[in-house]
Amino acid sequence: MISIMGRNKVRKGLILLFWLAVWQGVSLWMDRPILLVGPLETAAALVRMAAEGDFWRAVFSSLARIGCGFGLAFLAGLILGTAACLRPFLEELLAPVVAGMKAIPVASFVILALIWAGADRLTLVVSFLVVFPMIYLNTLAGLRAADPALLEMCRVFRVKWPARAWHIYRPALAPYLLSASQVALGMSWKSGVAAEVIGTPDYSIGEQLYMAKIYFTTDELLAWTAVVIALSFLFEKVIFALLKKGMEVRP
Amino acid sequence: MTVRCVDLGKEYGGSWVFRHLNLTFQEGGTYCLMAPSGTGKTTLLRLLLGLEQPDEGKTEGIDPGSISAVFQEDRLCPGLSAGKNILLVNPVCSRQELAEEMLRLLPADSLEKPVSAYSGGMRRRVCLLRAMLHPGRLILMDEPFNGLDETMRDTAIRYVKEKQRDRTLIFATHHREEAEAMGAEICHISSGQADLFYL
Repeated sequence: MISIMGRNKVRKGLILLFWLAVWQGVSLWMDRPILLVGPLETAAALVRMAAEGDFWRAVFSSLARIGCGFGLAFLAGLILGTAACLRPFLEELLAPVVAGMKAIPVASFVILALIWAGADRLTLVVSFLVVFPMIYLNTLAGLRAADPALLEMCRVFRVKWPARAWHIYRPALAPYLLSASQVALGMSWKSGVAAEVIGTPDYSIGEQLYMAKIYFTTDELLAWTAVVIALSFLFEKVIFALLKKGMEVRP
Repeated sequence: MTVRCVDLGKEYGGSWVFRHLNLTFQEGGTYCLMAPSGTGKTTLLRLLLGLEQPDEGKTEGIDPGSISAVFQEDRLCPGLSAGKNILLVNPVCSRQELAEEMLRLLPADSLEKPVSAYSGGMRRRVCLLRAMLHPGRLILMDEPFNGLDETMRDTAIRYVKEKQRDRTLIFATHHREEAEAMGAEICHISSGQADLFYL
């Protein structure tokens, strides 16, 4: 007997197959590989690229740059968000900077970061600038959502601040930080790769995408796009699972 | 810890909840604040807890580091078990003592569950355990037996009396039988004045 979950998986698989077939059909109908290649040609290009050392070097370099940018922004957002919650003056001081980070288009960031930090640090800086405001603002909101009745209880019983932080503030922060992280993880990849395409740092996915565009190798362009989607998905799943584990309240 | 309220007054939005309140709670005594709703029982307890500042007069004899409380609401961390909620306010409580004490008021199969899975009455019992296992010399309780059925209320009252030892206990309730069962001196607050007398 096929369970409901099993049936759902089969249905999703069939839907995916349908769209892959549509893609293959359209590429065959157009018959212009410069404009569009099908999933089979894309998969073949991916296998060919994966056999080369430069492919993995580009993958790991981009992963490291984007991961570092996200990690640093996460820590900075958490620390400064906590500090701003404790010292309202710091929140006022940072408000224009954070508002600027939210409002300035990613493309402007990329150009500025290219001038200030150079191509090698570009991805890290852009990922940082995109992720930081989300984590910072949600840390502030999450800490402020801590139950005032529980905080009063802690005050009466003289509960020490590490215990307050762990048992009162952490559960209040969790939903805010987790939802912000989920969005920020995806955004760090999108903005990071976009920055790489503009700055073309050596050994990066963005550089490979740019080269594919220059040489009209559409199969490689789509293969790299698939790589970015897969890496972004895995990055999001792994980091989100770790964060969720860290935020879990055990009875 | 002998606690005094000296000419105590508190106002909200220009109207006085009470004024010229003079009370003495002797060390080791059990006192019950009885008054109709809205006449300042919770306000008086909040002043004694140090959560509000008086607009007139003062409180004396309170060591802010030695207070234990049962609040009107449960104020438990919902994701934590009963034991972890108690250890949060009293981290030096031994695990063995904790387990033994919890079993006096809670069913054994509930101890590993988060308190969010408890009934209202069970949560109230955790609040009582938390307050009585805390070493505070002054115990302040706002309607501590609310939500308990008659049998459990009697058990809880016996438990509180046993664990009080020589500490000062002040609690608020609407139920005269709770004050009687606790053997408390009743303090009526009415029309902004307080009268203290034995039952």
